[in-house]
Amino acid sequence: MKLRSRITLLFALLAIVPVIIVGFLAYYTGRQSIENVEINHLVSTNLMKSSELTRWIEGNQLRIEELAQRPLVVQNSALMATSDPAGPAYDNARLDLENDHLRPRITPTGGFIEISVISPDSGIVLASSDDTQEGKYHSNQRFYLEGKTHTYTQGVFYSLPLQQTTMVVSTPVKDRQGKLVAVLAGRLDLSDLSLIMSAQSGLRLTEKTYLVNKSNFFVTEPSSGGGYALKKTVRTEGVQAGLSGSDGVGFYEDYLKVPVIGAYKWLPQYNMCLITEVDQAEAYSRIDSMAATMITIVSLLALIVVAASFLLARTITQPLARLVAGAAAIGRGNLDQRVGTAAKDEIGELSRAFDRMAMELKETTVSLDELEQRIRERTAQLEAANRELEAFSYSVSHDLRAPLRAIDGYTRILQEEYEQLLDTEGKRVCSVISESARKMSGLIDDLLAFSRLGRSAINPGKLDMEALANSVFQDLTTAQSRKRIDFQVDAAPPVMGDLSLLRQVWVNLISNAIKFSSRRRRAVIRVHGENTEGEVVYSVQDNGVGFDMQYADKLFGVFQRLHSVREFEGNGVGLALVQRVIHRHGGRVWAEGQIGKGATFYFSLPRQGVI
Amino acid sequence: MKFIHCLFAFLLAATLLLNWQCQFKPEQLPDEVTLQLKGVHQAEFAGFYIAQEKGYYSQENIRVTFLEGEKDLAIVQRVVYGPAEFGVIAPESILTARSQGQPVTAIAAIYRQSPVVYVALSDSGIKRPQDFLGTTIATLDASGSQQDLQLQFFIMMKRLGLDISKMKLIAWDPIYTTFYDGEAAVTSCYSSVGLIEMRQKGLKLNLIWPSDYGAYFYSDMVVTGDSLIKGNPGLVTRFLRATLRGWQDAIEDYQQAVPVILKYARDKDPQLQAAMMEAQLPLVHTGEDHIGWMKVEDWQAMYKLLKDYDLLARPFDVDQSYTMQFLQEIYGSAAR
Repeated sequence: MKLRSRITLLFALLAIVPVIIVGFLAYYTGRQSIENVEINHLVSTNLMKSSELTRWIEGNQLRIEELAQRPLVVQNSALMATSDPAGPAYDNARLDLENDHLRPRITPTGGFIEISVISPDSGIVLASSDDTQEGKYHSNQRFYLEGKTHTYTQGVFYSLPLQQTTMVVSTPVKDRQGKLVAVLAGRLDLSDLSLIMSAQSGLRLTEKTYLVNKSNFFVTEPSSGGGYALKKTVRTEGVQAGLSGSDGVGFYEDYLKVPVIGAYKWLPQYNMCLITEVDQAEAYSRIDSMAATMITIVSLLALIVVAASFLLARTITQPLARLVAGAAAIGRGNLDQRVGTAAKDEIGELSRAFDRMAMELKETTVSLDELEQRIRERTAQLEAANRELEAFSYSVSHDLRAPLRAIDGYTRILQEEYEQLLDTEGKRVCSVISESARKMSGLIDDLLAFSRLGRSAINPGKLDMEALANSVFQDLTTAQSRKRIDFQVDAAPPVMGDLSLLRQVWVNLISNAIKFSSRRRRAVIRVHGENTEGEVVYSVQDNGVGFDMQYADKLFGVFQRLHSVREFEGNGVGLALVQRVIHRHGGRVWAEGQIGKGATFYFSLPRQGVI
Repeated sequence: MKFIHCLFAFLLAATLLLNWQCQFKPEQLPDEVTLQLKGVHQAEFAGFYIAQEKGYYSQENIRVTFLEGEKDLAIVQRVVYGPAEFGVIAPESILTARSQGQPVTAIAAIYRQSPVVYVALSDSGIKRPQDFLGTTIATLDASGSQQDLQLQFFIMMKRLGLDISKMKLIAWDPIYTTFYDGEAAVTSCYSSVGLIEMRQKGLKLNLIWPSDYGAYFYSDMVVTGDSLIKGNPGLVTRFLRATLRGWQDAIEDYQQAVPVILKYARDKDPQLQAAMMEAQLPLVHTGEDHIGWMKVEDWQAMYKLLKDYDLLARPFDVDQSYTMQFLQEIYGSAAR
């Protein structure tokens, strides 16, 4: 991941995570407190509703009891119970009851919808505010049976004849002697009950309170309506808990499968359960809207933080990117590249330091091209100087020969013409002069050969090195001398090169080997060649006097000798010549040796031929 | 720790073994029983259908065959002498049969209020039993399967001291042709069946309920023969338990019961069956007690009514007519 992304992400995380944590905690505690508020509200609603229900029932019981105690009600009831139904007294009493006492109690604003006076013996309705009820029997009705002895409220039940749910309050009507003369029964307007249950106790739109009986049937309509009362059952968690006889609250799905917070209260005196519920969606709407606001804020904050951290990251990464680009440019050799930043921070300092470094580098560094150019120039100069030197040594050698011949000639004249005039010492001096002149001539010849070698052109051709070495050995030795020399050529791979020059190499190396092993009774000379990577390496090994490896680098110098002329003749040009030939072929020369244990001379040639 | 592992492994193995044994327990053949219904297939018997369709009977290892009621079919005889083991019948029929020495016993009350109602057209002016004098009433039942229509009428008239000789009584017509044609001014019917059909026709009716005039009865009862109660009470319990479960389901959401009813019902009108279902809710569930529950005082009152109005062959101990044994076993003895 790039630094810029990392910084952006880090800042975003640092800013958002704490906000989310704080937000969640705020939401959680808010939710908890709302739950507590809701639960308290629902429980108190249940308490309020149950006390309203009790007050409503007790109020109606008081009203019916008050009616039952009125002297005229008692008197007329007693009269009806004892007189002949066909007689005028009966009818008068009935009309009196109905018109003066029962019907005035029926009000359109609630309370009773029908009040009956029931015979205590037969259960027949003697008088009623609704004349269609007269003559009906209630002998097996619980409100009648219980109402004979005490004030009784028959809970909500379905009346088949009335084809509706109903609730009846009944009370005995007794005369002064305490004798039961009738049962007074009032049918309650259940819309009052529904009003009590449906009255909203707060501002909650989804709040609903309803009663459920022991058989799980709705007793009052839930706020959604739909004719549920005594027709549909409800088996929610809250109802089941309430019907088990306990009071409490719960979170569950209501009968419409909507998640609600519900409070349930068992009403043992009515064998019913009171349920108050509010939709969780509404209860939590405030905290949910807060959560929505918080999510919006967090989202905005996240955007701002991401943007800000992106910009901040850019102030860090942009100079770095410039730095990287500058380094790359300098790496490519452009020492004029400058990062150039005015920033005062650490990165600005780094950039400036970098620029200084580039500047100093430019000052102290010569470009490669310039270097090569200089090398080429130097090489050319050296080559020119070399050529001049060769030309000089050639002309010197050549020019020296004439005076040398003169010295030799005149010395010879002295020896031959003036032999008698010279004493012994004079003769010896002359011979020394002559000898030295001859040696000098030899030296000059070698020098000439050496410098000729540097100038002659190379004519490459394929050479059978094995045959060449053998032929050289044959040329250098006689049949007599070959007897004491064990000469052997191992594999010597062919190579491309100049025949005459490489023949000279073999001559010099093999003759050296013969020369330096001449003191051995049995000289052993091995010629070997092998292909290595890119070149062919040849060697000539002998078991001669060898040399001290500390002088190995001097072996190939002109006129360099490790032995005196008395020990081994020669003038120190042979190996220098070998080196020059091999170098001209693009190869290398080197040697290994140990005093008294022989020496090995190596030379290598490019496998591809002469360069 | 090792001991706990061993114990756990042992318990697991034991559970698996027990489970295996349970699975491979030789299957008992289901008990074959026949239920003789009181009428044709309709919503009136919804609880039985649901118990069948939801597999409550098969869970009790019972295979139930339903037999429809027919005109002039003596249901008590079919339960006592075969082919049915159980029947659905009105309590009046049980009491009269019992008074004749028939060994038939009620084990549960499905309808705990009678749906019997007497209807007259609104514009006839007939509002109460007293208005029946001088009119023609379709309520006589020859077969005994709809005895309740006739008996409740007699009880009501006698209780009100009305002379039935001053009325013309004709046979009850299950399709109410005599009523629709005007031959009968009043007809008896069931609020859960006939009344719905009449209301569907748009008729405006006055309803005279026998229960308002002292004729308070249960209606559809589940009955069985005394021999089965003695010989195989377990089967009776299992049958009743499944039946009551079916009825519980049926009334808990009566609309959901309609598709099941339609699989059996002769009349495939879903609205009619739903209306019947709704109408019978207060009969099955009165707001008191468990479904099927019966009360001693109700039985005594029903017996007294029949006895007082000389509708029994001879007096007998009313407690022979019903038993709470199975309801108490299912709901618990203190259940209400």
